[in-house]
Amino acid sequence: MHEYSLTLNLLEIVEEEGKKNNAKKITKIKLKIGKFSGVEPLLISHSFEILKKGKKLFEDAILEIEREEPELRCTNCGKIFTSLDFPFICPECGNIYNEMIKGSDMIIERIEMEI
Amino acid sequence: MGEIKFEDISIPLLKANEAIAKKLREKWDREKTFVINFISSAGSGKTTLIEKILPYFKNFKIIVLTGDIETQRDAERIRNKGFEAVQIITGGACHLEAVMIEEVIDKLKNRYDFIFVENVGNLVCPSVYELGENLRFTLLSVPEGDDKPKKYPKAFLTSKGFIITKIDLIPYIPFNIENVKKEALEINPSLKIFETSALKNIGIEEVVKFIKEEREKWIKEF
Repeated sequence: MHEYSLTLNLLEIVEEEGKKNNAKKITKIKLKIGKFSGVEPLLISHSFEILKKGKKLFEDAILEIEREEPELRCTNCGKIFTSLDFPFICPECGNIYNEMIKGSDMIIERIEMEI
Repeated sequence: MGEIKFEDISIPLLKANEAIAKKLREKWDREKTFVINFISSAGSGKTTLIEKILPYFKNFKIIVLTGDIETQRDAERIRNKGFEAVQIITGGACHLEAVMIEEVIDKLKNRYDFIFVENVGNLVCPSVYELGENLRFTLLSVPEGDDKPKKYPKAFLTSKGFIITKIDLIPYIPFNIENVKKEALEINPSLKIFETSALKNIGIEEVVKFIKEEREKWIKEF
């Protein structure tokens, strides 16, 4: 389970952003987790609840998680498409070598804070 | 109640690791060090395979970095074979991150032709973390079962080579090797697949040849 350490990173980054804005409290964090990121949203939520305890900045913070569908770019014809399962085949030209451009990361999209 | 402020940002969390991995990659490119990352579940035979591979690289400067939650055992095994090894004890972390590699690399005095990284035994988390490697292998042993690639796709998706280990056990265990290969290729059509048994010395030379070829290709890029 690597979600615990990812959540630690998340808190560090948000704390940094909070400081830059002189925030008194973080009220909401919006996260996007790619379907092929290898990150389990439920474990992120659990880790967040545990790690925020005792931290004044985060005591009222809510974590909102959205799943991100994969988006692929065909390495042959450039077509951008989505596919929910393997194999990722380009619907345009049938190419099977494709690059994942979305859906493989975990992204902080928005931080809401009280200043 | 104070004023509420919204900050719309886009900070990719996994990218923090990738930034360190990229730094490592740049350093290794400068020093012409070829780095290989071996990923698999615990017990699928990473150390044994590496022990078999190493003698083919004895004319090169090589070092093995072994990741485990506890003990020096794997590094000792490698050292007993006469090769340099550093144990990375993760103290609970189930995978290696680029920052852990960086810490070790900063302390090394020599330059190497090859760095073999044996990740923590785990088919899930290590696949998420790039270490700046040139080449990634995923291993799957016959006793683990033939239904694993699609259950743990990320490792297969991010690897260049897929090494099936312990194939000498196929007569004793229900394991359809053709299905495994088909599944793995559906996830990643460019996977190069190897069928090996380290104990019976099957398929080892093919893996060695592939590593050397990949390194040659990489050197030509400079």
